[in-house]
Amino acid sequence: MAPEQKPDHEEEHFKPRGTVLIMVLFFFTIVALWGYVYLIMVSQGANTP
Amino acid sequence: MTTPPSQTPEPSVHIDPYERGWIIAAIVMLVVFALAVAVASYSLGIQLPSPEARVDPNTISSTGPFANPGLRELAPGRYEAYILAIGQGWYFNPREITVPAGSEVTFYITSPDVQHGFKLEGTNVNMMIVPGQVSSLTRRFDEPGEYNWVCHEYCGTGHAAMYGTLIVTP
Repeated sequence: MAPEQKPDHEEEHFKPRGTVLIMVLFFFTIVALWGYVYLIMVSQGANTP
Repeated sequence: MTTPPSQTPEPSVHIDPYERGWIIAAIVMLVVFALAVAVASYSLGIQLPSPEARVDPNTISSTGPFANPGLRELAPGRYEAYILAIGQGWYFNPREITVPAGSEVTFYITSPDVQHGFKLEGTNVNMMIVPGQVSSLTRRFDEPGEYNWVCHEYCGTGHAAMYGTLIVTP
């Protein structure tokens, strides 16, 4: 028996909310960790080669 | 039978709106990171160490400034610190240097044997010490205190004993 085909309009309106949430969390995690290390580097002051 | 040129469909690339949004976010993030690094480098003066010179690791301990490592005063408030990282006994020579507050110290460090590291705590003085190459960085020390440095490249069984101290007096 062939699997039931979903109508096209259902696929068009599919919203990957879980994936978007994971990607947003990933985005802010990367930005927060990168920014934390960057601020440590800046707080340690200048040096020259 | 071929389609007339006027009816040929325009080639197009379909990008899902979510995918497009993520591509834009990733590009923005990379641009912001690159700009932040440029600001740190060109505006705040945070630089990477430079290879100052090439030397012969076999003769470095007996010729040139590293034959008598230590601190040299160039002018009031300006110093050069020649430091040897020695893996055959796992120590820095010298292990301790002292400068007055407000001094600018240029570190020249090399090794006669294996690869070492040099990280001065609480600062951005952080170098890889490669045999045959002199690594150099300059930093001003305004805050009195003790700044410990460590070897942060594993160099053998005595690696943990490789440390030293820069003392900044008031």
